[in-house]
Amino acid sequence: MDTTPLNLRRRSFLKLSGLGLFSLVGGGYIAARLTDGTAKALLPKATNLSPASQQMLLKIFDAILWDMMPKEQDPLLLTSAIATLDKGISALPPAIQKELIGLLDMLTFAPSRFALAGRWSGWENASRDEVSAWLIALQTSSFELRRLIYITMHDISTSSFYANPQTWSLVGYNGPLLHGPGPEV
Amino acid sequence: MSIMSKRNLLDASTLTADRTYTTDVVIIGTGAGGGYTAEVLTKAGLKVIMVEEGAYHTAKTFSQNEAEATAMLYQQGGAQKTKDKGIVVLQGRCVGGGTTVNWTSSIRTPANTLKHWREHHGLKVFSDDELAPYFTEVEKRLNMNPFEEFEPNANNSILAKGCAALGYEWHRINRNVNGCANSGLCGLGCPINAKQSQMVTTIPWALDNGAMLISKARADRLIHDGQKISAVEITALDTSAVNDTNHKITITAKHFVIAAGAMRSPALLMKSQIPDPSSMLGKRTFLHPVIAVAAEFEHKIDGFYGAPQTVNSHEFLWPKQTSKNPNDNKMGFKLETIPVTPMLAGAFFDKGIGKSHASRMKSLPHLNVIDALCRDGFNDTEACGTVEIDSNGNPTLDYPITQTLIETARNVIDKVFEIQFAAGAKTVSAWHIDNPKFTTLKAAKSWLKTADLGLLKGMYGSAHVMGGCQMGKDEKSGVVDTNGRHFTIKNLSIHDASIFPSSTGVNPQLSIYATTLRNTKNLTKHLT
Ligand SMILES: Cc1cc2nc3c(=O)[nH]c(=O)nc-3n(C[C@H](O)[C@H](O)[C@H](O)COP(=O)(O)OP(=O)(O)OC[C@H]3O[C@@H](n4cnc5c(N)ncnc54)[C@H](O)[C@@H]3O)c2cc1C
Ligand code: SF4
Repeated sequence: MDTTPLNLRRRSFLKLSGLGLFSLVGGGYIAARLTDGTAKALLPKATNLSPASQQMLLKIFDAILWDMMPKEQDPLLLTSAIATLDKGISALPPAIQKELIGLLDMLTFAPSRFALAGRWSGWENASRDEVSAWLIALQTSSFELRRLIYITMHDISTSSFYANPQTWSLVGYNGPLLHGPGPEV
Repeated sequence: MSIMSKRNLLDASTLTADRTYTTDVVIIGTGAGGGYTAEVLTKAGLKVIMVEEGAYHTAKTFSQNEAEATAMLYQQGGAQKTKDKGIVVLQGRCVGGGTTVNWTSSIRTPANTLKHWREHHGLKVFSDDELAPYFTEVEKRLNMNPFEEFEPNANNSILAKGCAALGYEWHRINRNVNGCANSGLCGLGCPINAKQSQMVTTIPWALDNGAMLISKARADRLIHDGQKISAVEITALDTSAVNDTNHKITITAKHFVIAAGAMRSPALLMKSQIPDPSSMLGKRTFLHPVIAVAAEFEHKIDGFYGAPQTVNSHEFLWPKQTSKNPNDNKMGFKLETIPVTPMLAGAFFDKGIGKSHASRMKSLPHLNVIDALCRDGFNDTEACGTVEIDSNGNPTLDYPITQTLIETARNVIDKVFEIQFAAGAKTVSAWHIDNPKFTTLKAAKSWLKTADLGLLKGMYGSAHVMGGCQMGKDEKSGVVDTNGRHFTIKNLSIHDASIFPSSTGVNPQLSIYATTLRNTKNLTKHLT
């Protein structure tokens, strides 16, 4: 067994936004400024997610969660998960908020998406199969940064989805046994 | 009139001007170490102010929704990770700190851990008996007892059954509860105050006896002259407890107790440029890295209900070095269970999409999850963690996924596969980005032999952060002495998990309480 500890000095660290992704796409773009300005907002009032990010997340959440959904409720449950995420971002420390929003902006931006394997012409035109293939390419990538993006997309979609009590019956959970509010002590 | 209105509380988000206070002792952080310190000092007649970065939530405001509760009660809204994003690190951030959200396992520091502290760190004072009276006193105060009101839930019973089938040691776990209804969502704050956290025990006692508590307030800097601290500078946060406001609070005191948990205590000292003659400040952070394995059973388990941890196995905690494995550097580990709630299973454990994700989640009531806590910090081949201050002034933890950790994980997963199949599992799955699932032990083992368990392939977690201000026998070997007193700054003590020179090897709350009680009693002798 190789028991040598990692050489700390030779390690490099992943950043979701900023240099990490910029270097991956060849550098230099101000992604957030160049994203699709024509995208229609899904949420009537969003605090953190741009309309373009909302439309992109609808496609990504769908590719991750489609098999969990009772057909007739599809769009509603996904939109509600996106709303939960939008609200949840405000509870994150400012530096992580920036990192996550930066990543989403960058993924809505065509050149970076291209670099990350999605070759379709815009998120609104991407099919479920295309987005799934893109996600699986990230999941199985040999690059840590790509796997990190996959894990981030997976975790934000699923944690926002299962936050909604309406999804609990889909997984056989009848909800908490105790309900608040309890007494102050 | 509500109890709260009679207490000396300040929600710093309501400030409209800067404030200054003077007191005998200021305590930064209200978790296991901070809460207990507040009660003991108040009892000794000292004027105490507690400062807490998180909000003051109680059973009145807790949510039984996982997403809401993690945003309210956890460090970084539950999103905290190590620097290379390889390990998810859960810590409480609220009044009561980790004790408000923990799973109530109450276990004394193992004799082998104390022996290691004596033999490898020269901390001779920690004889097998040194902490015994403090364990007893804490166990009584926080109602830490065998949990006999209910049988273990099916999730825990599987661990017991699998261990029994293979001849492995297992036993039930003491819990700090009073009137527990066996609901299972301890991690979201107990809605009936059965869990004897600091939020329902020591903190209210201290408040009802004259202590003050400032919440939504982050200590940023200790003002000192290299020998003595004169004041602590604090930033008031906004209502959400996320953003800074423009208001500052300054507290002058005779003594300063830092109990901000084992990442933020060292970080506060580092940011304040507290002298560090040993160069150990922020070094040797331990996580009890968590490796988890899920299994699907034919029968219903409903692992989201019932006390989360009631059974554990110490079979592999202290592996014997044999002539066959003289250079075996793998970490020892204890086995326990993780509650199988929709968010923990769906977002934390599962890593699949589409059919793969749905097939796991549709079987949620049939899922069991067993995890190992790896005993880190005992082995020279481990890197352990290092606290750093990032460009935003926030602490981050660099904890590399070493070969030692990877081989430990392989060993853990191998053992847990065997245990789950021995208990009758239909399928088993390691916590891994590929979301693997196997129906036979042979197939599972064959995958494991060559599986890449490295960074962002194998998944790792932690709920037990320790170290970073470790005790030493002198100022060359540690940050604080065996009473938690800083070697150079005379009016500074550290009272939390950061003083441990290795991980504890078992769930740490009782170790933190007992050392805190001992050190606070010793401190009062100097202050009164
Ligand atoms: C989900 C979960 C389950 C657990 N289950 C168990 C269990 O079953 N048994 C067990 O023994 N242990 C368990 N633990 C671990 C245990 O709760 C912790 O080890 C323990 O609470 C740590 O105590 P502490 O005093 O070191 O710090 P903490 O309890 O983490 O408290 C530190 C406090 O300081 C505050 N703070 C930090 N920085 C500042 C600052 N600059 N200014 C002001 N305040 C600040 C934080 O907000 C926090 O409230 C669990 C932990 C978690 C997260
Ligand atoms: S199991 Fe439920 S009732 Fe018991 S301590 Fe935990 S949250 Fe409270």
